[in-house]
Amino acid sequence: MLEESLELLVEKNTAVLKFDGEVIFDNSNQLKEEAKERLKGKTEVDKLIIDLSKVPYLDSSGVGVLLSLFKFMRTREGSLAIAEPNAKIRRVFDVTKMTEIIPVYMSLEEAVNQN
Amino acid sequence: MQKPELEKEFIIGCQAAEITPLLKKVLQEIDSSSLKAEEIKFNLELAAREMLANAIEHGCALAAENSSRVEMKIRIELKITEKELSFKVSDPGPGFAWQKYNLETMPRFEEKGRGLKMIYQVADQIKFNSCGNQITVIFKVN
Repeated sequence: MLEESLELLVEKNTAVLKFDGEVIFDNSNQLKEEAKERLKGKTEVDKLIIDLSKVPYLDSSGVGVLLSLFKFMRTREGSLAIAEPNAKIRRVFDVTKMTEIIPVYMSLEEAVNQN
Repeated sequence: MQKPELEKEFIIGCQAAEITPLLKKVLQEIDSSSLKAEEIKFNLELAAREMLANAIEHGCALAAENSSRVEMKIRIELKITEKELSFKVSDPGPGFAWQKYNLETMPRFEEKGRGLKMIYQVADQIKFNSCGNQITVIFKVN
């Protein structure tokens, strides 16, 4: 298993979920489940921002994690946005047409203000 | 058949942690060749990561289920000629029925099923061997 971690910061109804490390087939299920577990205890959160500034790469299974969290937020009538993907990850988003579903912002500040 | 300018073979075990160091070596080899195409390297890395993920997640996993005597290794071949770059991944698994697989339609909300379609999107050509445990992507130069 690759080394990875996630951190959840909550302020009022907004949460920032920060992944640190690659999000790929080897750890994607674990990260997805851990993220949902932490969010379950934060029922006040209806705006989730995923901060990818510390993620060097995210593969097709990582896209699956983002979509799973998008659906999770939709069930609580909330929203999801993505912040600070690098150029490689933006290419993955272009190819998978992810940006047609989830808004992507170049900075966390922009995501917090616009989401 | 054109004489390759560069022909290299790499072998890795069935471990996700081996992917990034392997790709570093592959990209260094490309840099040392006369091929100067950042866009190809960008797309190759995206395709290669999906190819290697499939090899580990499906090929190696099925090989381990089917037999304990199979050598759990993934073979990678990089070839550069004046006209193209090819990258081939062979896994120890039994393969899959690629002939029945739809490579074109990208899933929208599904959480799985994007890997091969991503490879198809970024490569100029994608080829499989008959049993489906070997995949090659080709990028045209110029």
